[in-house]
Amino acid sequence: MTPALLDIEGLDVAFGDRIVVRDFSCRLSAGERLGIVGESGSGKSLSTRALMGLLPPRAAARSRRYTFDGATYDVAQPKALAALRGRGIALVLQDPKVALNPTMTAGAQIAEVCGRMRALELLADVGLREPERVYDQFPGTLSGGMGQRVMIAMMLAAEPKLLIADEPTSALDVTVAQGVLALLDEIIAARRMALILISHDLDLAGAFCDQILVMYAGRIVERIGASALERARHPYTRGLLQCRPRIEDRGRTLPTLSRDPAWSHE
Amino acid sequence: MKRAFAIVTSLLLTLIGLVAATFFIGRVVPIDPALALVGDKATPEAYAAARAALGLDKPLIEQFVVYVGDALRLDFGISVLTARPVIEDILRVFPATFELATLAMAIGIGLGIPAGVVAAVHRDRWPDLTIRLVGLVGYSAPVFWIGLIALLLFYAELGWLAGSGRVDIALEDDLVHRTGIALLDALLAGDARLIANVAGHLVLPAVVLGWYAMAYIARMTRSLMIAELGQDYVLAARAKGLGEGRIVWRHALGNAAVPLVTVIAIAYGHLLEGSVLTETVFAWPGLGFYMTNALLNADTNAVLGGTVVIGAIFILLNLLSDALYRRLDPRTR
Amino acid sequence: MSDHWRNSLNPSMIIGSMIIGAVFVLALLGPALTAMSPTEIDLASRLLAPSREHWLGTDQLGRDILSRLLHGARLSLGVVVLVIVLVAPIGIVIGAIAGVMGGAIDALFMRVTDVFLAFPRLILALAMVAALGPGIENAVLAIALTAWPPYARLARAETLVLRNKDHIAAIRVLGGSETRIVFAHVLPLLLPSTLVRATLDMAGIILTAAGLGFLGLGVRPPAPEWGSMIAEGRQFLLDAWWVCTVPGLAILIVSLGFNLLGDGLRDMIDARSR
Repeated sequence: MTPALLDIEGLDVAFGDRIVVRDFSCRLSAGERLGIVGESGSGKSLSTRALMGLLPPRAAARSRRYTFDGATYDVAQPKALAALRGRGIALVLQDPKVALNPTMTAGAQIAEVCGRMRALELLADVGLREPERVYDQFPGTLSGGMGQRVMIAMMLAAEPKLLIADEPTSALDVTVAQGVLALLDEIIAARRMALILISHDLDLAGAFCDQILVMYAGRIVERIGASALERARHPYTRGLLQCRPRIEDRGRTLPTLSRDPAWSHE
Repeated sequence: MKRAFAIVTSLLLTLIGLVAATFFIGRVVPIDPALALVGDKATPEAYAAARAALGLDKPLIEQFVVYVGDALRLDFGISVLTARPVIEDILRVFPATFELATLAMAIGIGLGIPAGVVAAVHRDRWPDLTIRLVGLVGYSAPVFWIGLIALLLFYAELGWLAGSGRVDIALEDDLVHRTGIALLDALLAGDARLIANVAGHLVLPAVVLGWYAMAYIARMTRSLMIAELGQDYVLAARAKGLGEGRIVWRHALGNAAVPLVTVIAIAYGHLLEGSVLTETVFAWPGLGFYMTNALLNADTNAVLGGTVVIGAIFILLNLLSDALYRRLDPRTR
Repeated sequence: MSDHWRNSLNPSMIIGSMIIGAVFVLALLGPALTAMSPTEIDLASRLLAPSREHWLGTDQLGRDILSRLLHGARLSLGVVVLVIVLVAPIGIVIGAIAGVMGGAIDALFMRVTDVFLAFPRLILALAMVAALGPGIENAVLAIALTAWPPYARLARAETLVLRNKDHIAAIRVLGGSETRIVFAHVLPLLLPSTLVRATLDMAGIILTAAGLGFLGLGVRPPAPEWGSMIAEGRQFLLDAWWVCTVPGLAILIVSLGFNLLGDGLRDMIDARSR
């Protein structure tokens, strides 16, 4: 097995005495893709934010082990994790309209990490046909797809080794989303980056990633290779699989997900 | 072009409304406007002259039109106290108020904005609590009382700073009024002792007024910054590896600056109000002092003239801040 | 439910309500508790420093400052409460009507509020007193005239937003008339923000009223209004500092109390709506 780029074991995140992520662990190597699937509140975003020291002010994290790219870090010291942000791990958010500073030009927000020349190159790399024009535009005037490409360019500026994409296409319509996903695919492959894709869409994660983690109520309830998804064993995952609408199912009532409280205590 | 027209019309309408309000207060409200104008100690001749000047025998509408016309030409009548046109008096005393209010504003902005930023960044920890406490006292205390306490402490007890007025009486003749702004005039004269004296007299009233401005601006800056720091773009900025300093001062403050412009305009208006009281305490010969004097001497023309002038400044400030807001925020273009 | 409420209470609100509570109690009961008259002149006891007999000293006419303070509390609080009770409901209703009617009425309304908002409160009060003469009713009127526009503006803005919200649309579909919608459904939603605004306003009104008193434009002497007490004590600032200082401290404490209470209420409402 290739040496792990990311190795986190036993991550807990809590707000005061309310524990919201419990015993999160995973290992990821360069070039690997991990999908984290779950509903809102399952802790999928928080666990990855903890890795970058980006938890909200009242949250605290701890873990048994956390190494990245050969160095050891402490999840409980978010300030020390600043060295990782951008350079080691980058984060692409869901909605470029709010994730980009509305009063700074798109280009300036990239250039403040890597300079103007490199920013223009990156804008071209993400498939924008007129980099100079987009450089001078404000995020409010960009379409969803363009904004998302700008965000990706911005996050690539510091040359990270791991990219965390948190619902990168949830705010986009289907055709635009396809384009953005194709872009991510190409970039990650070309730069040999690792990827963590967070989504509520099981199919998407299954198609895009090698490994899937299913989370429920802060815990990982299933850890499975993408190709083995249909053979998943945990009742929650099976429930998710059954809830997906299929065009052949026309006329049939969709099942609703049943939640066993026992799942949050495993 | 169409927008400029709309703005000018709006401005004019509000100004006319302002003038109408003062007309109402001056002519319609008192039972005998002429008496209100000359006071009850006036001679019968003065009273008759006032009646004639006010055109009280003409219909109200006509009076109003004349009044508005006069006001727009900046003719507010003659001051009963100084026997000179009110507008002349106002132009003479205004620079003193301008100097004080602007200096207080500078203190308010220079201290208030950084204080608000620091308070927001260290929310609920001791820097925040200290700043909030100091600010709370700053805008809960009556400004004239603070002025009196300050005089008591720093002038009477400690003797550190000068007392009332803009300059020591002994040096009064040395201060040639060129701009009307004492500090500038002193600097222009190049007299070091004069400059020091004028500055010494400015400190106390400016700081007293400035404390209020600082408290208000710090409080608004803090809540604006807290709102900005909670936004996703701040999270993204951190995620891409930017230093916290740049995020706070360039990104968050940069966005908070836009509504702050409106806050500052409002604060300047409050300062004009506050200087009415502060000038009384420090015998500072500005517009506020002039107006309170006029009030106590029943000089209605002067009071109403001052009211229109201050109201007009208020309106202009709001206009300016609206225009600046539009320029600074790309989302509104 | 009670747990939820308890968690929302913050120090600001607790301290603020304690201060205001104490002030109201003192204002109501205080005058009955002190034996000394606030108006009786006793030149033999002029300008006495605080002592066991006169807890806060005496002023230039020998009157006990503590009892003047307590009587003055009624005046100041009376002005504040009167203004708010007049201004807030009327302002809100006017604003809501403007928001609902729209068109020419709304435009006129905006114009009128612009004019009133163009006046700094104290300056307008000065002008009104110049015309009407000093006195507490005129002071209240003057302050009220500049106090109502913010409430009207607030009500109008929120009405415009709320009118188009989904649950209001639902009521409309169920057959509610426009006016009924506004008064029975939208206005109650305005209550929390109005309450916060009113509380914070009271802090400012106390300062404006004191300012008017200081300039000699409020109540007539010998009424123990706090602002005029400061003005009277001004000439004795250097020798008998307590005559000026004490009333100012009282104003500070009351205004502080309202500010703390208002801030606390706002934090509590913000937290609950999240």
